[in-house]
Amino acid sequence: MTKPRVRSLAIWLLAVVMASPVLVVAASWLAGVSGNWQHLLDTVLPVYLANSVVLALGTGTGTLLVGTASAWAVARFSFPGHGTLSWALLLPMACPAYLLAYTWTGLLAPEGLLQQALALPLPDIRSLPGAIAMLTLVLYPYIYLMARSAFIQQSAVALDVARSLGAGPWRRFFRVALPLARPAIIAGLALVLMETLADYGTVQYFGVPTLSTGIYRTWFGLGDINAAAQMASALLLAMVLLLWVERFARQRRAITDSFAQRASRSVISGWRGWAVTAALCLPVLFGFLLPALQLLAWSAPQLDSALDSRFLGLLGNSLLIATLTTACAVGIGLLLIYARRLVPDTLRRHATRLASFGYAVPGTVLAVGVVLALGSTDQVINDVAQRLGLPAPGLVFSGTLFAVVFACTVRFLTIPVQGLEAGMARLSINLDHAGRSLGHPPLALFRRVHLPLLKVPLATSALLVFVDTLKELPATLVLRPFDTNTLAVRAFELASDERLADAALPALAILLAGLFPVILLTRATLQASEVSSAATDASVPSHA
Amino acid sequence: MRFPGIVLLAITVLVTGCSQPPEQVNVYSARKEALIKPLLDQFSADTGITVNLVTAKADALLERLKAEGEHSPADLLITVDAGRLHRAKQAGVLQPLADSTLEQRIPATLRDPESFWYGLSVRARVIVYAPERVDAGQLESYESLADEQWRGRICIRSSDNIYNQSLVASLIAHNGEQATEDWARAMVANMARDPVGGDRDQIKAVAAGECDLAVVNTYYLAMMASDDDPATRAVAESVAVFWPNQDERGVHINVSGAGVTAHAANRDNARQLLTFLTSDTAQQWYAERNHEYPAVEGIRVSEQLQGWGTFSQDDLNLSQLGELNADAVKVMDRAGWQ
Amino acid sequence: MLDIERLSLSLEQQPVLSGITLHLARGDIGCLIGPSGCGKTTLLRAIAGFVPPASGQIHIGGRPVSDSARQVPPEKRRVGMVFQDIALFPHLDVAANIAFGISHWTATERQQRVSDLLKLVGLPDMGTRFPAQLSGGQQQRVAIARALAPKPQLLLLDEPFSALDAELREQVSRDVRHILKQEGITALFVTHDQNEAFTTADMLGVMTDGQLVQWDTPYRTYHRPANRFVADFIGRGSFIPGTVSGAFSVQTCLGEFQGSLPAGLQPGDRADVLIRPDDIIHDDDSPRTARVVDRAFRGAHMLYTLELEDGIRVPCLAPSHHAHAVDSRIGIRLELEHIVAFSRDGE
Repeated sequence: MTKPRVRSLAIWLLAVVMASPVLVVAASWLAGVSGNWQHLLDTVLPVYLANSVVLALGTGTGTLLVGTASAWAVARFSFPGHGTLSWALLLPMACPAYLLAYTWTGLLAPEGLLQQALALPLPDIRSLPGAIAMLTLVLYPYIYLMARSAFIQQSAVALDVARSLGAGPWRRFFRVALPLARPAIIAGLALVLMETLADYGTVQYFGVPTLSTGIYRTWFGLGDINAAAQMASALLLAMVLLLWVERFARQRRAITDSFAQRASRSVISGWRGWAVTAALCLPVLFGFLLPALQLLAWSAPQLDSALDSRFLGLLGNSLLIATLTTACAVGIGLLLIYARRLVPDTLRRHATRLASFGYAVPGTVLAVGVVLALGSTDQVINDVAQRLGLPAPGLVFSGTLFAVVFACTVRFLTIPVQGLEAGMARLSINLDHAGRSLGHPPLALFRRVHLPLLKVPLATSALLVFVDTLKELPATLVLRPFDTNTLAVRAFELASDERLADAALPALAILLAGLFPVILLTRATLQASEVSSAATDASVPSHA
Repeated sequence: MRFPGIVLLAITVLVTGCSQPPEQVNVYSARKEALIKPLLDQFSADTGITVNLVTAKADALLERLKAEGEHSPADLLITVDAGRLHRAKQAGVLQPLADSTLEQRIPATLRDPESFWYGLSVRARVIVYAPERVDAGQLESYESLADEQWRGRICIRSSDNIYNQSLVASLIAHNGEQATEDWARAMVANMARDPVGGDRDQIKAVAAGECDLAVVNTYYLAMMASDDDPATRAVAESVAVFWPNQDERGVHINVSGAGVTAHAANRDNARQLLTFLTSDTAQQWYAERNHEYPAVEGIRVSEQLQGWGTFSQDDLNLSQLGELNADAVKVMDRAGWQ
Repeated sequence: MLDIERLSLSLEQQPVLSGITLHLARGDIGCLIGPSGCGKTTLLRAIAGFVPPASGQIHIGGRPVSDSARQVPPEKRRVGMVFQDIALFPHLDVAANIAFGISHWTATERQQRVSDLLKLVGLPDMGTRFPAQLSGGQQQRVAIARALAPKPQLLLLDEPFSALDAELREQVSRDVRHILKQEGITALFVTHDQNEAFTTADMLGVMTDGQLVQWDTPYRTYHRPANRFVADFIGRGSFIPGTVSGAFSVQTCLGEFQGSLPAGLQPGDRADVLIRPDDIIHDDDSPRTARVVDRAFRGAHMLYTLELEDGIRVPCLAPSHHAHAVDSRIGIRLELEHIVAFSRDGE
């Protein structure tokens, strides 16, 4: 075999390893169709399905509206508070959906802050529409993030042409800007839908039976882990279709034209400007500020006693796991994407697809996939050691921090893979050829050309993975080593024990820990995108 | 091609995989950390044995135990539900621990007949009601909640919840599957709203007048009654407790419990810990701190619990709750109990 | 300098190049031309080392870089490349772009080389600009400077001027030829623009369907096309039917022509004779006339399309002060320096 072929095989094997927990889940079908399917079909499955579809449609529509509109406003207009809002709009994603659900329940409860302050009867949030609202608030930043950079990178020419043809601002948005940004928006939407369908905490607390709660109910209640895994893989199949749709959209993606002039932002002044500001404050207010205030109010009485060294330990663990996962996910994502860039053969193409499945499986199911995959690896290692007459090493992977980081990496790998894939696609292959012919081997080329040019997608996916891992719960919960707690684990344990006041402090810490990278990376991203993307497009003509 | 991520991971494995102190016991616990850690700390202080703890959902821990097999570091499995202990026993991840002290202290109904696990604390699922709208004389048993008179007046949480699954499993054990399904249908008809929230939310709903009755575990009410927040205390004080089925089999109970794992490397330490958890100190702590009922007889319960008086409890073999759990879920599915 | 022997290549199981053989002497500028999809860009990429050939050999400067035994990676071939989409590194300024391939040189050498090249391409003082701040023509000159910086043995240019507008294209291509000649660079470029090929190339290769059908001087590809495709593709012209009348003559409606004929043509065979616009001379005194069907004003010349008696159309280039209306008849005479004829029945 030739050297590139051997490497392709290695890349593919890496992808198989990353996909192994998902494959373990899918392998549940090998055991035969579970007898409980008939019962599920006759009773609850139609309800699960209907609720999941409504939830996905509602959250999809909600996040599209909020995410796209806010991205358009921030990318195209100047208004009071523009600088702050451009990053503040990302903040709600720092909040785990289930915590938002608990917090809003508290806010809207008869004795809650909001109900008291407004003295109005407020609707009960614990319903399907309520779950849609919660998930929309937490997830719209994905679309905002993707759409904003797409809008910023659009050339002014297309919009000016539309204008010269007599198109007003609305028509320009719907007929020109939106279709041009569609691939980016759909990529964001795919992430939103996957998170929505895999969400458990929110719908479970709100009493909305969905496919995801159904999976757990089948496992915990019926004790049928096989049927649960089969349901999860059916869900996965739906996700794969979504991914496929998304990829299809990206294939038809238009590359921005050469010598693009960035459209400058038009200024909206006076009351109109303030109206835009007020509108954009709403998602930040509902998705971040109000819940944070409620959490602060809950945790205030015990702030002194709770802020001890153990709390710092929680914070440290959370940051450690999030940092390691970010490094691994972004590193492996880069490796897969760059390997495919170098030699776009079938093995490497499949590798990037394979590695993208983890996001689509409900967390605890994926965690069990990891448990099984790592457990059997450990068994094999021990068997081999025994056969070689060596002392049994015991558990090498199971129950270590490695297991947690591995699981989180598997779960979030799709974020850098998709982000970098789109980013790489925007770079002309001739940049590589120029660099190679100028005497740079692949690694040097990567360091000097791709890395600087991929800053924006790298920073964006690192941010998403970091914040997602901070919030991550099920995999950490099941896989962690002894005495290793994180903020998310602590917050969840207390909240699920209906001790909201005690859960408030770790929850608040998750929000704050997510806040700083959001601010830092948004600034870096904005600067980088303004400097380098202006340059990138200039040398990538439309017919390349 | 380099694999920086893998290198990083390898380092973390090395860092976390090494260094084991000499005397220790490893615990997998489905009981939340806050509800068990203080006791474990007490045990370490008393004996010098380090306790290492992982908490997670019982079923996930069970999968982890199975996957880890004979190399599992776990010595003791703690769950908050007898059904899960029964499942663990069936899966072969527990070992029997015949111990005369333990058998003496824990009543036979609260432990496995073959000594695979021992109950540690008891929770009772009771009816709470709004005294100004409901007369205690109208109440009788779980079965009587199916009466027409409660149409649209009952709050109870979702059938996803293990407490409801256990309750329904006990009803199947006593009344049979068909009768229980009819009962569940009537319950659904009597619900004031679609099941939503946890047990505390049901209590709040009774206090707020959204419904007149709720079925909840005692300790939630007790914890609300001793909350720092006066508003929460007021909610708890506005409702009353009714002990169902007192004239016959008694109130439905379930236990939290523990069993020694099949491949426990620190079996003796695990036994010590288990014994400690059934000691007067530990049992007292459960009662005082968590407002649960102690598994050991003769332990003083918390003030709140004392206020609700004594009760007779269903002495159904708890393993049966585990065996009938799946049937209970199916009955509720068929009855349309969300 | 560049020697290619029997090179064949497939992409995704589709043969893209077959049996390509060509030799380019040191200091010469070669040019590959052909319809799109003919494989010319792929050939360039194979020479640079971006796609591995299935068989055949490539030598650069006498050194084998690609044969059945080994593939020298692109970064070790000492081949410069200039791209259709220019592909300047957008995150680096002009000086850093040019210095990209000589990062192992000392700082002084590097600065010297960059400023020399900037002067050479006529962009002194532009070193600190970023690519996005340059015009298309300036970008292309920077791209050439960048490719020349490491003193490559061979420079490959892939449709280097197609991103430029027509006016700029002609000027930049002349400038580039001047720079290459001045530096003594051996270069091979790909284009689909004949004028560009004629003005720039010393050697012209015509490709179709993955084959190099002729590798010759531009003059000879025009006047001595190797086959009907080359005759059709290069320059303007049309065929008039005739019959072989002797070992060295063909009889047509425009008279008998003398010259060497392709092997295998026997007297009596039917043959087509290539007529270039400059072969037909407009002569008002000539007894032979043709009807004007169309005319196109070309500044100094007028390009007529004429119809002969039996409906055959031929081009005719005449000085533009001879203005004749469409449908009028004008006198013509034929001046064929040499005859280019192909068998009527296939090649």
